[in-house]
Amino acid sequence: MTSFRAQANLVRMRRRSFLGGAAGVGLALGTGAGKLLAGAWTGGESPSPPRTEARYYKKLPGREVLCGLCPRACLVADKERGFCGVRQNIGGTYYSLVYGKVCALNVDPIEKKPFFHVLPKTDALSLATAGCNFHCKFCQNWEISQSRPEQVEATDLSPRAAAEAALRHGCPSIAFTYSEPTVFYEYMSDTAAEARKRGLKSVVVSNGHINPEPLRALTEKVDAIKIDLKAFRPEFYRTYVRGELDPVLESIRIVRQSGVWLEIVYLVIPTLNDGEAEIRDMSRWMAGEIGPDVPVHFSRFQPMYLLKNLPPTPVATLEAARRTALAEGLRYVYVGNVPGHEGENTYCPKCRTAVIERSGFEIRANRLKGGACPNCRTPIPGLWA
Amino acid sequence: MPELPNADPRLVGLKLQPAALRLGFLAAAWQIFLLREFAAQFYGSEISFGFVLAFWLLWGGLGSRAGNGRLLGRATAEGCLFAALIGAPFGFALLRLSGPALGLLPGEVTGFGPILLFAAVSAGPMNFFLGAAFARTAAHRRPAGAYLWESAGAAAGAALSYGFLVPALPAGAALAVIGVVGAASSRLDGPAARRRAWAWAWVGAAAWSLLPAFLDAPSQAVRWRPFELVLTKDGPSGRMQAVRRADEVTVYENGLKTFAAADRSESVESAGFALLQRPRAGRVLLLGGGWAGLAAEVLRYDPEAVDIVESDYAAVKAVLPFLPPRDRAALADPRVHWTIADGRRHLERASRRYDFILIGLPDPATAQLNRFYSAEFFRLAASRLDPGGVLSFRAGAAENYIGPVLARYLATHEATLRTAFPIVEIAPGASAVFLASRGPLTLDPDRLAGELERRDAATASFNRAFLQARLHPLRRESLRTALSAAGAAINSDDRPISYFYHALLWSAQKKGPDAAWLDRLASIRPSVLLAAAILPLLLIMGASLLRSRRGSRMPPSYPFLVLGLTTMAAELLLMIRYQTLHGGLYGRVALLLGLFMAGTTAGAWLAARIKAETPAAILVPSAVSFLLLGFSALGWDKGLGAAGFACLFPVWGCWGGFLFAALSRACPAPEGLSGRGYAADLLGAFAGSLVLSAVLLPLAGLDRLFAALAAINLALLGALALDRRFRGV
Repeated sequence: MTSFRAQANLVRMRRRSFLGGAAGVGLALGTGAGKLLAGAWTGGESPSPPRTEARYYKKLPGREVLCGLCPRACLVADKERGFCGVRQNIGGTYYSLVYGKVCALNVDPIEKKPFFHVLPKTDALSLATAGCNFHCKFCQNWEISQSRPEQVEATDLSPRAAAEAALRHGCPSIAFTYSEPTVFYEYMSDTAAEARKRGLKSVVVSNGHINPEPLRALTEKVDAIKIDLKAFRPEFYRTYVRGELDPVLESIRIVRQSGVWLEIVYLVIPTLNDGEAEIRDMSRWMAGEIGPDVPVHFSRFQPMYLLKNLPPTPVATLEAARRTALAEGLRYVYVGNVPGHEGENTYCPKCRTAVIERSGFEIRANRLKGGACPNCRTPIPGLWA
Repeated sequence: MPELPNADPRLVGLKLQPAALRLGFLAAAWQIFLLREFAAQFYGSEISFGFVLAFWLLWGGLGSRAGNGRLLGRATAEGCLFAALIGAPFGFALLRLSGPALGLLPGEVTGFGPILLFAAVSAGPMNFFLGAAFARTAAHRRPAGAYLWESAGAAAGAALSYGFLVPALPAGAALAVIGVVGAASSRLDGPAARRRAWAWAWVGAAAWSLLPAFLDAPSQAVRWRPFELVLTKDGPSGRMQAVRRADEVTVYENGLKTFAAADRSESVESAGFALLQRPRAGRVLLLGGGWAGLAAEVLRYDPEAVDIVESDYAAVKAVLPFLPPRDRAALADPRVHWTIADGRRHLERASRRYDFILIGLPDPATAQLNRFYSAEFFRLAASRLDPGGVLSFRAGAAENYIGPVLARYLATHEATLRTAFPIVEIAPGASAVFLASRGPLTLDPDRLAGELERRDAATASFNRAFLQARLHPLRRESLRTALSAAGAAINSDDRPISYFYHALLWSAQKKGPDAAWLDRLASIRPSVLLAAAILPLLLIMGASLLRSRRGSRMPPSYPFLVLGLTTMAAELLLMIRYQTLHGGLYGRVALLLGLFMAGTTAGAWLAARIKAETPAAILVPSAVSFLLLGFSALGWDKGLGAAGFACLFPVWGCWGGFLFAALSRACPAPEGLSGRGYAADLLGAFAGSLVLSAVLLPLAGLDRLFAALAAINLALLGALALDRRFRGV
């Protein structure tokens, strides 16, 4: 844990910064709606998990703590919170404030995450708590990701109840998504364990801004991780998401080495990260260091949040990015958020047969036989069953 | 009856005052273009209009005070005017470069803080010096006469803007024309050397005034860089822009995205969810958005006829060449009929009924848009639908979580729809699609998918899998639960609360303190808000009366303060009501302003002609204002036609002009402080426009505000009757 101090981004979170961050959106109005939701989600069970001690932190003199969960390495004084706003130092002990406090819960097609090589044509019980360790100007879920637990309506959903809810809704997997699962690490980890006991898979949709040690531990519990690689330039990370690129790249390496299924999404934002050189550099790095079999999705930017008036990404830009990545040797490169585009399909890298044809969330054809191309028998990597 | 003090004979007279005429011309024309520029830069919200107007008046008031004091040294009125002409392009440039100055990306939204900041600074370079010039002009002439000729100049400036500058020229060129006219009409007097120096100064000012014309296109291109700006067109309803990236065009109106070739999802969903409710499409009315992909999507359901209603065809026509071929072909389909009209007016006059009415307009981000989401409008739409007809629109929402602010906004739409339709359904999503009818509606994904497949209308993005995901029971239940817990209000023409909630939602994204303030204000009862707004005025009046009782001979400022507040508030409220009832305000704002200022001129002229030297000259107009406000508070003005309603503007202008002139005579300012009443008038107007437009209008509603103004004027009437300083005329 002492290595945390060596990391550059030591952030001292004081009461003043907390108050500054808390200004704005009004406080949540109570738990009435949340309780109603709990009934719908869990079939009536709504246990109240206690405040849960956080994992991956170090106690320091003077009742300070050093968070070791993500590369921000927040140095947090007593009664203060980390950058994410959902982990608090109370008397020298660091707590997660969102353990089991689910504010968004839906059943989504797994293609929506997107996972294209994981259990096609199935639904994933998708859940989130408040909080994020990034601040993206284009966040799709800003109302929860940029909020503190007390600013959102949430309900209690224990790990066991979440796993049972997935079974009840016919979902073979649970997806930790919408906000940043890293910030509800303890809950995610325990829920994944409960899911595994019941034969369910767990998939994570993350920004990859997590430290190696907790990430390695997480890979023991979950089945697939999708990492949003938001750009391939450090300046972009610093300017538009208030984070760092290198730790994300390191996370991609770790997940790949762990054997957990990995997919990468690159949200192509017009003028901000759509340069050909940047796409080429990223593709070259992926092919060289991570391997050509990791699927990469070039997703179309839909104007959101603070960039809601920016034009959406032209399809031609996505197609150019896909061509560049394929030319650099990546085998499974997709165009995302353009329903009906041929770039949504999975092609056999050897004979170019379309082994899975997609149109938006619809799977028009799945020709895989035993996880391999029906034409040339080339194995197509993924979690197919 | 109390008597008025003897009028100062200097204050009576109608002799032409070219300097005041020019000041009025510049003030009105610059104000119109400043408002339009603000609309283009900051999404056309009337909240930003209120800010601009308020700070415009504040700067004018401060300038007027400075003109009476020592701050500007020995600067003459001409010198102040010269400074205003030099300052105008700075104000324009400040606004144009607001995005880059704030570090905003193209298309990035901003909160109220920056809007307030730029409203505060952009009007300063012009109107501070105009106010000072007025004070220095009036100091050596007759304030009432100066007011009269300033009003006449303002009427001329508004008329020129309405008749020529707005429809014919881009904003930069229009500002250049205004500046050149201002410089060219300056008078040269004094010794030869001085005249020569001033001649060169005016030539320089005229040349400098051309700057906005040259900056116009480049400054817009800078704002959008690195996108390619392929079209910009200033029209009566605002600024239409189109930007291109990799051959795909996105269209903006007043900075808000209205069409993106790369993303048709909103049109696809708006058409699909509505038209699948009935086995045949029949007659479809599209209010807005028809050209922006909606017509093409509706045609996939094989309707009998599609009526597209657009209010600003010139702007749409400019965009058409940039649309994808499919959309252009749809607009040329023989089943598609265009009507150039205001959407509400079209519905009022429609003789045939429709099977579907689809509103393809943006969210109610402005009071202008709010009138298509009000209970009155929904009732009108219901009356123009067949018994099983469907009304539909989309509203910005969130796909995965509905927070309290968003829930209240959406719940208000739902509650308002229910005032006209017994059945309402909402399809959840990043854009929530509202459906309303007197017949049955369904959001059962299997039934909708079956209907979609029967009609062979499924597409890559709108198909069974999409419907099952989008309309999953859990997602619908989450939305239902969030909305049922939210405190919904009814959005009406008189109380445009949806527009306020939308502003709140927008503000919440920035997470600034303004969001929390607005939220708190929304929770206060309107009557308490109004009382809080009125109380300071009553205290000012009371304190002034007390001074009068103690023998003070200093002329009071409170009548001017109330006068300024009333005229500005009445003008704003009448404009909003005109907009609601008759539409097209943005194209006619210059006309209405011109009528108002013409009325002001007539009123000032009348006051000078009839030698109003009795208390009745002040008390009668005060009583008239009370009656006029009561007339509007009772909603009787709604029965007037568009032309009849427009006549209220010169009537109010006449009242303001008359009373200002009468008060100027009744309360002659001490030597050297002749702009004092003018400053109080402007400060009252500043307070009125700031408080009214930003907060009170949507929260309290028009009727209550008219009533509150009537109460203030009744109090003024009482104060004037009691004030000893008005005795002994």
